[in-house]
Amino acid sequence: MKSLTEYLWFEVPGRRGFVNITDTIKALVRKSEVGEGICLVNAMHITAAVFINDAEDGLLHDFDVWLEKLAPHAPTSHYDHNRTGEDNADAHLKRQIMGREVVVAITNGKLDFGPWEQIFYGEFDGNRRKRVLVKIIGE
Amino acid sequence: MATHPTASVYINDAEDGLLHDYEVWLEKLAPHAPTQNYRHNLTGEDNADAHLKRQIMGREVVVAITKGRLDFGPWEQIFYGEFDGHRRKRVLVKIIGE
Repeated sequence: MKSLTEYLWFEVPGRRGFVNITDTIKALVRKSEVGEGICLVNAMHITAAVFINDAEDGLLHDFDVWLEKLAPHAPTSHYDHNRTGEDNADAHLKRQIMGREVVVAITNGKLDFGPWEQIFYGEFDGNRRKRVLVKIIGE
Repeated sequence: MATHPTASVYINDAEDGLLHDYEVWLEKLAPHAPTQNYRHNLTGEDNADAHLKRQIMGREVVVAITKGRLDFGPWEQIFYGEFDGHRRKRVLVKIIGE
């Protein structure tokens, strides 16, 4: 079995943002030389997400507005978690909606995607360095 | 992974305030009552909300193993989330590799 482990660093300016990491993951799949296998991509921080969806700016904006409606940042005092001195309870909730990780099939040495699938890093408590783990296993 | 569709396995912070926040938030997004607001409950169940809550929190987590250990970030903890309890349920753990 072949395997490859890589860590990607992000420092998103501002509290929230989305980064398309599809090309980076494709390059790692090539580097792994795995022909048949799976690729795990997960946020290592619990106020960030990795998800698959459409690379369309309008939709990314819509996600941002929708998440803010479902889990508003303010008033921060509404969340018990923020009594710890944090102000990021909303970010833990937003990440839960968007998901921690994706698992993508590798077929014939390529990510076996549908027509519009793109991999994103979603940041909900930015302005600091955070990591994403990529693990590729297969033959 | 949770093998019941009204429970979750997810990764987040082991902080009591946050667990309380999840509870309040999920009840707001998918309230248990009034139970007759859900078509699923016409079957005699009263757990439609639990199916919705589990959908938000997720069914499974996949964690990389590197050098024989769970390859976690600094605060990651694995939780079982129950939304329709008082009965025995199972979680499946599958570990593969070399």
